[in-house]
Amino acid sequence: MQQSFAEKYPSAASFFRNVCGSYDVACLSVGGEVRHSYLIGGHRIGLHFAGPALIPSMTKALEHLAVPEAAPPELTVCLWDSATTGVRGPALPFNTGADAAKGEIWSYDDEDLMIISQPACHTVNMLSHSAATGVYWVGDAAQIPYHDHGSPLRLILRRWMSERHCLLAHGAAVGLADGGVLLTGRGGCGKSTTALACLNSPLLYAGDDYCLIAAGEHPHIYSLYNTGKQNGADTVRFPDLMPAISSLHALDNEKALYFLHDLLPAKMTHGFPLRALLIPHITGHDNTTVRRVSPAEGLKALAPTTVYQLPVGEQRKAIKMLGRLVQQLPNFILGLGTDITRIPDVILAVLSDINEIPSKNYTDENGYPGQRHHPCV
Amino acid sequence: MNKELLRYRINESKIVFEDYDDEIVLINLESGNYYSIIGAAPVIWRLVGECRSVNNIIDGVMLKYEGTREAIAHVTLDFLKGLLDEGLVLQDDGAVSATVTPQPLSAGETAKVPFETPVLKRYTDMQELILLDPVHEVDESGWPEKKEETEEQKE
Repeated sequence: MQQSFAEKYPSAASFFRNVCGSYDVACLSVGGEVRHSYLIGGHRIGLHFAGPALIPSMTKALEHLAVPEAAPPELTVCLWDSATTGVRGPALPFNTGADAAKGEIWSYDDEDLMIISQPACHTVNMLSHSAATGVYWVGDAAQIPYHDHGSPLRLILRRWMSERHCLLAHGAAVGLADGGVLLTGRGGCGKSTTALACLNSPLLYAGDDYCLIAAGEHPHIYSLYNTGKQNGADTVRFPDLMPAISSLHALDNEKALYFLHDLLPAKMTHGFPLRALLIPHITGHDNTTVRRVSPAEGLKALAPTTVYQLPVGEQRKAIKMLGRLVQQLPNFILGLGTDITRIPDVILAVLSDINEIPSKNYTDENGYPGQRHHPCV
Repeated sequence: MNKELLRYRINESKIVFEDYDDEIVLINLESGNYYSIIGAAPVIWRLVGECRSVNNIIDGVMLKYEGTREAIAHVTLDFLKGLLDEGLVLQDDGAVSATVTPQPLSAGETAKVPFETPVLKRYTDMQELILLDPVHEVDESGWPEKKEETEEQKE
């Protein structure tokens, strides 16, 4: 008969201490830990590695947010692998099943401790709020899933940030220092193409697949990863970006994964005030156009694709947050033309128009209000 | 069941909704489907949310819209059946209605407008995402149970 969590460990905290002990042993086995420091969503976060094995895989997408190690981090994430340290992964207090399919997730979540195991990938993510510590374990760096290279520690950061009213949204973001847009919508709608097309313009790049939205009276976008993704066939649209593709050898099976900080460090940004929500839509016409739509249209584009990637316990709060956000911001359909070089100018024009809202007392032809709450307008 | 007695309630354990006056967006957290309701549908949804009997819902719709009772009742009942079929509302077994006494209906200050057929639009493009990363949650008292696909997800 299997023991329950409570029977096996006196408390979740004691289980987590045990896991942290394994990390310490892993560090000793490779001669110490390597520390990296980042500013993510305005918070100082430390990644501490038991040896160098995981550093290339887990830091490249965050490089644009690296800062010198100074004050103690608000969150420390400890990472180790078994292949180079010889230290086994956490002995989870539940059976995740030996026949787990690819992508299956097994999770435990209480007020303090989160455990997420992906058995097929041999990875475990943990976060203890009270200890301000996360743990990432993988059997072997070679087993880290392709998508995790582009968005490392997503599960830990998502949970920690959500406690700080910062939502991990599914979308791309581009903008200027004083304001930008979130590009959102279902997969294949043109988010990535739009964001990558903006690299050859005055617009700065805050991310492709995932961004952090700090909600509240003054919504703000924070960059999380400096990566971008494209279907292999679409990479021909951006020949100048070819050197940034990390997975050229696997384009037949996987999307191209760009690490953009290496190639274009000056185009990366930590974030900007969020001014508008754009919903890309491929039209097949030459020109790119924008059309104002209702907050409900914005929510239908943004909420499902974001919320269904969240744990059940976080979904309601996220929908309410996004429901308010789409009322605070103007929402637009961005009708993508075939000449993608013209897309950035259309986005810049949207931002310029929004900046003039107060002088026009702006409402559009449908009566949708402008950014009534935005401090920078 | 008699329309005097029949009541529905919002399936709050699975549904989250956002109300934008002339359109309400509903998200089923379990199935991966999300919905938009427009026309007279937001009015009906709000009346359901007030735990009113079906008869009272029809009365409420008639206060807002022009049209014969027969025509409005027919369309409203069809719409309610659609909500029920999609699992967006549940037939109330009396547990909620026993604790809620709806306020008397009020016509408000706006004049009646021509009846707009209530429309329920369903979006299924996120179902794939739900099945892509099936999540098995463990609580403190026990071990995780593998979540089975619903019949609809298997299709």
